[in-house]
Amino acid sequence: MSWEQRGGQSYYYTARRVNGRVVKEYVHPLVAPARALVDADRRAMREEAAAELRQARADLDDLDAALIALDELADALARGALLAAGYHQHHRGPWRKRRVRQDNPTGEGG
Amino acid sequence: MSDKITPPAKGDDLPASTEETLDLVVRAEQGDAAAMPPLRKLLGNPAAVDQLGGNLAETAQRLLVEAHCGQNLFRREAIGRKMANLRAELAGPTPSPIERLLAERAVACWLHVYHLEAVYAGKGAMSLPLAEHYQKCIDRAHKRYVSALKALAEVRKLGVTVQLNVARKQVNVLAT
Repeated sequence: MSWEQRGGQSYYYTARRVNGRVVKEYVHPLVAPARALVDADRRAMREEAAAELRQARADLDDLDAALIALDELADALARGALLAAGYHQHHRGPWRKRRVRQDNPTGEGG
Repeated sequence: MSDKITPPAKGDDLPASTEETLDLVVRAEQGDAAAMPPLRKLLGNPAAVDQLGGNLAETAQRLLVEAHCGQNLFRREAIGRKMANLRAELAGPTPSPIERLLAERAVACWLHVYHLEAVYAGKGAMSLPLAEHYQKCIDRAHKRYVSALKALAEVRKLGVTVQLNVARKQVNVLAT
């Protein structure tokens, strides 16, 4: 939607998509100012809604991010504790106690 | 385990940041035996675990309480009590540092799910993209909550102890 200069005169055109192509439509000069106002109003409303959506998403994502960091650390420390205690996990299955040889009581080294 | 918590000394070879800790665990998972001593040392030191995880848990919980309660002090008080009860229930009477951290995470995850569901249900109308985003967030939060409870149950079920060998003395430290 825009005003275009043609031969010293201003003409208002609207644009819409038809089958993926942008089609411009001429608006009669008598109704063009009113139509331009309505279009501007709609555009402002759309922009406001988009900004609200962006803000709401950002707020939700901030909360998510705080929990993701905690999640990663807690999971890592839990896995670390299980590993340090001699457990192992095979292909995301249940944690099992590693078999300990008599000469390697801590179960370290593989 | 003793209730007295000594802060880790400066210059100690404990991982100082979350990234270093994650790296240490990844190395241990890949079979790097050199990663085990510092990992055991970290897990055997309640102060180090609290220092690493406690701050993250506290930050996450504070953000969630602020988002959910805003300036409403009554709601803040009620949520604080509910969180304290849940924390005590999940951690049990004598939690180890890891159990405490996992319980704190579960409390944070519970509050996240509760907050999202309350806000979503309370909104009269919202655009379709925002509703979809809410649904995705609720699904993720719920999944995280279940996973947090599962991790806590697993660690408690296996009753893990980490063994530290200090010079000639062998000290068994409960580290989960």
